[in-house]
Amino acid sequence: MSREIGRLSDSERLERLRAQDWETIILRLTAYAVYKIQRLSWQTGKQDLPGGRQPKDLAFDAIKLVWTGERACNPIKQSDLLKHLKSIVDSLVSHLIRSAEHMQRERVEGEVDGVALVFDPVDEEASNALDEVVAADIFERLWQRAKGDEDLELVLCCIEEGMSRPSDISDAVKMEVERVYKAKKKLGIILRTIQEE
Amino acid sequence: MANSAKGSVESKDYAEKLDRLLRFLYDTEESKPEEVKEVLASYGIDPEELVNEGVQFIRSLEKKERVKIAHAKRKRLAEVFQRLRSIDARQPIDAVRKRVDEILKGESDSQFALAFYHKYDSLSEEDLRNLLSDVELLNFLAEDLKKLDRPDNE
Repeated sequence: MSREIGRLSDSERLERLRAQDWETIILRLTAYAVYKIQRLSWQTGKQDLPGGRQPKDLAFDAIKLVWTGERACNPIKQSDLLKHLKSIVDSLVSHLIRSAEHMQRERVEGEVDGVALVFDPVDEEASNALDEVVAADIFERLWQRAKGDEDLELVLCCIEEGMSRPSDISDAVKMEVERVYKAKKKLGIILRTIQEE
Repeated sequence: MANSAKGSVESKDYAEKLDRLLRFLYDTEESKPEEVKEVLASYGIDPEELVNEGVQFIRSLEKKERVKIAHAKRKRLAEVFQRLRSIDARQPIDAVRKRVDEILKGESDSQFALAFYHKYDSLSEEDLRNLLSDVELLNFLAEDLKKLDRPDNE
């Protein structure tokens, strides 16, 4: 009977991991964790993850899970290790949020010990509605500040129309990719200013 | 009613737009290494320090994993050795005969075993002992092969 395709021995798994370009993976994975935390901070209004976890912590936790084999990458199902690591970061963030919500619920229940009161779970609909209001406000302020800068306005238009990859935006509006990146930098600065306000 | 439905669709759009904006700003899938470093620096992370720390971290993980694998291999070899030692063809001939009997009965769907079952009475004691050693060894190897083919086996 032949061995199952795609299954690796521990030694083979380590050799494959060893052969990866880790410097690039560390940088890109941490940048991805920054993106996840940024997205979350707009939703929750908090800059940090529960437990004070930082982007680097998330990236390193994901890398550890792959090296120890707890979340090993199946080369047949997922040949792109960075993509696999990003999905682990996603689940780590979800887990942290769920745990924090659970702890909050238990704390509230503890505070009303002896009183027949059940903690009202997070109203997802209300939370989503708030997220929408915050997002709408951000876009309004972005448009105000982008006014007069044609490249920024074009990039914002593309994002509103469903694009998020610089190469797609460059193709769609026939703008050199370098100019898209310049617009990206400017938008990043504007967004940080808005966040600090 | 129509307005409220429209409003909810529009508002949903904004959260998705914000998702895309942040993906555009922070997802570095298409970015050059220097741009990735800039994104990290803008968040207050020193890219060089991050890489150094990360590489050290990975080296320590690799070391631990190699030690773990070495221990597992050693344990496995000890098990194999123990198992091989337990194959005892020097036991009394009646016990050898009984064990060969059990093995051949267990192989009742094998035509070869069936044919052999009626003939092994005529074998010499020495041949019978050799036969038991060989069959026990083959059984052991077959079990090992089955373990290798288990999906969760590493």
